[in-house]
Amino acid sequence: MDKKLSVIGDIYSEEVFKVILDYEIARAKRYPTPMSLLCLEIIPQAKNQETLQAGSNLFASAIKQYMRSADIPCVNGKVFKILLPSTNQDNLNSTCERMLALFTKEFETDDGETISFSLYIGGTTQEGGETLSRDQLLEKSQSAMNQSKEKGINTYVVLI
Amino acid sequence: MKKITTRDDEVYSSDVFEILFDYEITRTKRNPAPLALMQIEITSTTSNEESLKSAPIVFIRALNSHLRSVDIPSKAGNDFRILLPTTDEPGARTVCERLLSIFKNKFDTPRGPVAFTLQIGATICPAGTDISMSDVTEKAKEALKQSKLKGPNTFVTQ
Repeated sequence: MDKKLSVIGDIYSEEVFKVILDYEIARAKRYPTPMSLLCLEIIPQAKNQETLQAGSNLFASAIKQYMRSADIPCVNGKVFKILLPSTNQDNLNSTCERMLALFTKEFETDDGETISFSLYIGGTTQEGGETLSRDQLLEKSQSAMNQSKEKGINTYVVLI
Repeated sequence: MKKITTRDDEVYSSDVFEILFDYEITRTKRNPAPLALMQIEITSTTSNEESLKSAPIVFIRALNSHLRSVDIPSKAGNDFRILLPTTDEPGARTVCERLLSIFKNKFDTPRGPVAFTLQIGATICPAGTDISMSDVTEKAKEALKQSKLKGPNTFVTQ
């Protein structure tokens, strides 16, 4: 089992992410604090195929620079999930806007190539406490991302 | 990997424990808070083979009912590890004393009573210390060895 961290820029694999999600939910039930979940799909754009294929890795590296150390990102192909502990709806909206602002610019790779990303972002937030639901967090963030895809690239949708 | 959402008669598998252990170590470095690890060896005593088989479940059920939802219990053979986030030395001592108190009594099962003998070693990482999983584990194991030297139903913290 890939039990520690996936190799992609120290971002968790989805399997590990779900373990930590369950644990964070148990914690937020006991010590009620809001919890948000982001679901992102990225579309990398680059001039050469090699850079394009490295898109997820490059995005993963970039994401670690811009997220709080308390945030918990995971990756599965071109879809990223980011658990944001102690994050309410206002903070979630700010995070979505910041991500769109940050990631729609071009990035330069170590090889001097340029890459940019288009994003679809879905997010949801729940209050802490006994009503907190793992399944709802996952389903609503996925549904919000699907709605973002309907709206078009570089948009975000937050469902409560 | 086994998903655990409720812990009535289950504890985390070793691989999940390792993930959460690593995660808590990282959290402790980020947001300084104490962390305790308990290493417990249990010996089950029963009058018949059938009740001996149910002993681990009886133990786990009783253990879980006295732990917080944020605590992280795990089993490997006859040994249990329990990671106690945000727990300082007085807190860890309280948990050790509580466990010894709970398990000093016999437990009734449909197949007969079960009794447990516990040896507990615990180590506490004060907030802000630079710690690693292996160091913490070694210290807890050392504390367990000292508990075994002291005798049954004892604990040692270090």
